[in-house]
Amino acid sequence: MLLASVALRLLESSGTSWWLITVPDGCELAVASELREELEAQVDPVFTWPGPTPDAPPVVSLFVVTKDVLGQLPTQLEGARSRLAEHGVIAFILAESNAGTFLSTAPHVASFIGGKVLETSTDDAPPSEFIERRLASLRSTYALSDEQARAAFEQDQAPDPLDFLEWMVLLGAQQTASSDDG
Amino acid sequence: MGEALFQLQARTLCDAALVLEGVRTAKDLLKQLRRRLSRATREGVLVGDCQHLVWQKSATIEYTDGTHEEVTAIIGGIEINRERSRELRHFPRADGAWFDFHIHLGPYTGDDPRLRGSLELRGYGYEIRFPKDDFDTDIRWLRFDLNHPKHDNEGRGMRCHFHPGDEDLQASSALMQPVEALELLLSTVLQLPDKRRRS
Repeated sequence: MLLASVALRLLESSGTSWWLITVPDGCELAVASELREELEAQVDPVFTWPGPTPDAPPVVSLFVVTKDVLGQLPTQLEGARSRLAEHGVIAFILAESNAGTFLSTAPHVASFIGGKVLETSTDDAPPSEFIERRLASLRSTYALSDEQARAAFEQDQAPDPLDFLEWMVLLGAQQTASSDDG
Repeated sequence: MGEALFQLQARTLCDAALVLEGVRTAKDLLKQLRRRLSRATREGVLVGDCQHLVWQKSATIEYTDGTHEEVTAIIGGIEINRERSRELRHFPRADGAWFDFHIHLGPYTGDDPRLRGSLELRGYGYEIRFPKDDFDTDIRWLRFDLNHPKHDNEGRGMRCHFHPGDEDLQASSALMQPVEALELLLSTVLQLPDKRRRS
């Protein structure tokens, strides 16, 4: 799920909603940083643990569960459940590989979370399907192949220069992706 | 009349107007647009989370004169929708209107040294549709265009224009920053309240 959509889910939930956000290994801090930025652009205050406690009760609290705190944090959370009710919407950010350990060592936390598990990353690249569908609609709209479109673009004969510029950008992006894969 | 249109175009499309305001990168603009959509969803203006439908792609474009530049396309939607089919992905408003858009950015090409390194608008298209079941108007759609500088409209003084529901009819338009245009697409002031079919 898009990180911005995770932010929306958190903002749309209310009361003592608890969420688990799984991310690729090693990306916990990067995701937490970007998610905090998204949330702070829309609500205030946002609390991130570890970090200083805000002066006012937070609207959203992000708990970054890296491997080094995985051992003791679940036990601490189990004991602090009632205090955490003052932390607004709570989201635990951890690597997907650590999710099972986290939930099994904090059963009450797990039951609070229930099925509210979201998967995200900082990867913002659009699905390749979007690019291909957009290109297909350009080919269909102008009844041209990519090669014909490129020739028209290079010869300044594009019926709509903006659409053809976009066509070249999308082809260029596809070529970049291909060379990365090759 | 022709000369007046060119003067209007020159004033509308002056250097500073085309430069993106408030953001330095295309990624920052994408974030701004998504946040505005997020707020529209939370306020009940948009139906559902539409943020993933705004996406961007950049590429270095090489021109035949040997120059090159990085151009970014920000697409709001997926396919080009000339047929105006609701079957294709779009942004659905709660009042029945729906829209999609595209924005193209490139590096600043003007002479002002203070604007060097900025991004500028190369073109855009924002189209909103008003289904007859929901809106009491004969105008079924509205589109605001900023054509590419190489489009024929540059020579007519009509590069920045809008279409009031007819591809063959266009009139000069104010130039809009992307967030301004999105604000317009989300706005309910496009039609007077007592003219809507729905309550």
